[in-house]
Amino acid sequence: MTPPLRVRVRPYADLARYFPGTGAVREVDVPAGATIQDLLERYGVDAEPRLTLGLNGELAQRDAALAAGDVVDILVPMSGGA
Amino acid sequence: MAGSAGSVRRRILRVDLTTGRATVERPEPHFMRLHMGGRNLIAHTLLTEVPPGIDAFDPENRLVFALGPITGVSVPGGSRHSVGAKSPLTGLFGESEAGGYWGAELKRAGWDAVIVQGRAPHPVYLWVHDDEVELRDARSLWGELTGPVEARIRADLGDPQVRVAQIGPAGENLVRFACIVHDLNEVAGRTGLGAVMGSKNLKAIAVRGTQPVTASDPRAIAGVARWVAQETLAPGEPHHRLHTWGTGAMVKSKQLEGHLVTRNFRDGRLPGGDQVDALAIQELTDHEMDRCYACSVRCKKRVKITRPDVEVDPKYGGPEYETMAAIGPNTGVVDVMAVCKGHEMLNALGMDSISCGATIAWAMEMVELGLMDEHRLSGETLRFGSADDLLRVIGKIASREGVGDLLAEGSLRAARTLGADAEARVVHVKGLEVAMHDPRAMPEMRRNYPVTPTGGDHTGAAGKRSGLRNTVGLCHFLQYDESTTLTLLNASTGWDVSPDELHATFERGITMARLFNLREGLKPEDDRLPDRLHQPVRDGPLRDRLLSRDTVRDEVRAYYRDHGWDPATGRPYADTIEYLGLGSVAAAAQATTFVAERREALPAGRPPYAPQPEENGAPAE
Repeated sequence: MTPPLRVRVRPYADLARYFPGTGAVREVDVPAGATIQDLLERYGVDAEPRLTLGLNGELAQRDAALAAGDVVDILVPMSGGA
Repeated sequence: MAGSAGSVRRRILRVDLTTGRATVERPEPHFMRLHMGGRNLIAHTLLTEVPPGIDAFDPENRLVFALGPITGVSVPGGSRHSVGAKSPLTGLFGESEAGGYWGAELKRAGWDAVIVQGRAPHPVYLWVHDDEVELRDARSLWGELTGPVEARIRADLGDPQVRVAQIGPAGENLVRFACIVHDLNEVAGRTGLGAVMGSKNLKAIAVRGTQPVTASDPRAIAGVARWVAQETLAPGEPHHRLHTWGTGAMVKSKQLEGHLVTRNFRDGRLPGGDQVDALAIQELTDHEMDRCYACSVRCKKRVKITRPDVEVDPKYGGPEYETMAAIGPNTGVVDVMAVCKGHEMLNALGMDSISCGATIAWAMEMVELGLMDEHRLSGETLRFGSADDLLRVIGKIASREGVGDLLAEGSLRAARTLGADAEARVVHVKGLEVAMHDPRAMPEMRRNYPVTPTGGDHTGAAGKRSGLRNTVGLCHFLQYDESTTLTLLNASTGWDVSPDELHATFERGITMARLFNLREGLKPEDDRLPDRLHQPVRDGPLRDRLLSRDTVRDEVRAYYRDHGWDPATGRPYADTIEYLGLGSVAAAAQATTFVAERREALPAGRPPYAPQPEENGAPAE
C-alpha cells in the first residue's frame, strides 16, 4: 500500500475553517497520486464558488498532481473580476 | 420636517464664503425624490450652478457635501455620503464618497446637503450645530495636520462628539489629489476635492446634531440590521471576511494570478509584494477593527505600531487594500510597516493614497528610465522599492517642496512637462490615476475604468449597483441585493419607489454627469485606457496577454448604447434627456448642444436605456 503524501496547505483568511489545526500553515495527508482537486474535495473547500490556487508559489490548476512536501496556497480571488 | 418620520430633511445649507452668508433652501418634495441626494444632487448642482469652463479653483466652483436618503438611518452601510466639485485633477465631474460618522451627524443636524461656494478672505471653518451655522476663524489651524486640528476644533467648541470633515496641509497647498478627511480615517479621496476646499480657504466643516433620524418604517430597517448582525458575520457568511480582516485579505491571489499592481503597472508580481496585506497587518501590528455609523460589519482597521524605528497612531485608522497596493507593490515597497506609516501620513496630510502612490510610482519609473533629470529631482532620490524615498516624498508632495511641487500636480500634468515618453507611461483615465485593480486581468475593471465619469475609479460607479449606492448613501461593501436596497430606501423615506424608478434614478445620475463632462470638454476618445494597460505585464502568468484597444472601444460603445447615448459620440439622446426629466436641467446648464438626436424613434413607452441585470458578487476592495 502506498503511503499517503504529506503536504502543507496555506488557506488564507476565512478559508482556514476548512482545515484542522491552527496557524497559517496546516499539514495534511492526501492519498498518493492526489490532485489539488482531491485535496479540495477531501476538506470541503470545493464548495467555494471561486478559488485561486497556488502550488509551490506558482499559479496552479485543480488537476495539478501533488507531491510530498508541496505547499498549496488556497485563496478566493480578489473581487472585481469575472 | 426634521425629526418627523422619514429620513429626507428637505433642507440644503448653502454657504457663500465670499459674503460669509448662509442660507437655507427647501427643495420641493418632487425634487428630492427625483434626484434623491449623493451623486445625483452633486451632478445637478454642478450642471446648473458651475459656469462652463471655469478653473476648478475658481470661487464659482461648487463644493457639495451630499447625503443620501439612507445616510444616517440606523442600518449597516447607512453611513455614506458623497462629496463633489469640478475636479482640479481631471477638469471634469469630481465625486468621491466617505463613511464614518460625519454624514450621519449632518443628517442629525437636520440637513441633506451643504453647498459651499465663493472663497473666504482668510482661512475659516464652518460650524453646523443643528440650525446654528457659523463661520469661525481658522487662521491658527492653517498648516496643521488633521489630528491636531480635530482635537483643537473639538476643544474650541467644547464638545468631544463634534464630527469634523477637513483638509490637511495638502489641500491648503492645492495638491491636485488632496482629499477631504472625515473623522481622521474616512476620506473622500478621489478627484482632488480637498484642493477645491483649500482653494476656498475652508479648513473644515464641524458638525453636531441632536435630531434623531427616524425612518418611515423602523421595523423594516431593524429587520435588515438584524440580518446583517446575526446571519452574515460568521465564518462562511457574506461579511465574515470584511468583519474579521477588513479589505486586503486576499492580496496573494493577485500575486499568483500575475496581476499584483507592481512598479507603475509594469510588472505583474513582486517578491514579497503579497506580504503587504491585511493578514500581515493583523499579525504584525497592534490592531483592532472599528466601525462606521450603525454598522455591525466593523471592517475598518485601526493600526497601532510602537517600535523604535516606526510609530503609527491608531487614530488615523489603518490602510485599506487600495492604499496597501498604491504605496506598497506599486512603488516596489514590500515593507508593511512602512505602508502603515505611509497611510498615517496620507491621512494626516490629507492626500488620496491611490493618486499619490500612483504618481510616485510613475516618478520612480521616470527616474529609472532617465526621463526625470537632476534639476527636476532637486536632490531627491526616487527608487522603486525604497520605503525611505516613498515616505520622504509623500511629505514633500504635501508641502510642494522640491520635486514634490511637480508631483503635487498629479501624474498626467507632471508628465506633460517631461515630454511624450513620460506621458505615455502615466496610468490614468481622464487624468485620474487608475486604482489598484488591473483591467488586463479583471473584466469588470476593464469595462468600468474607461466610462466612469470621474476617471480611473475602481468602485464600479459607472454601473447601476455602485452608482445608486453613491446616490442613496449606502456602503458598497454591504451584500444587499437590489430588492433589499429598495426596501431600505422606501423604509427610510416613506416613498414607494419602484424598481423601474430606481433604475431611472441611476440613469439620471450617470447622464447628468455625462452632460457635465461633455460640456467641460470630454471627447469620446477620452473614454479609454492608457497605453500601459494595452501592454502586457513583464512577467508572470499574464506576460503574454494583450488587452486590445478594439475590445475596450467596443465595450465603451456598448455602454453608450445601453444608457441611451449615441454610440458614436457618447452624447445622450434627446429622448433620454426627456424620459429622465432633464430637459430643463440641460437647458439651464447650457448643455443642450451636447445632446444627440436618435435616427429612429423608440417604440412608445420603452425606456431609452437598456435593462441592467443585477450585478452579482462582491464589489472591488
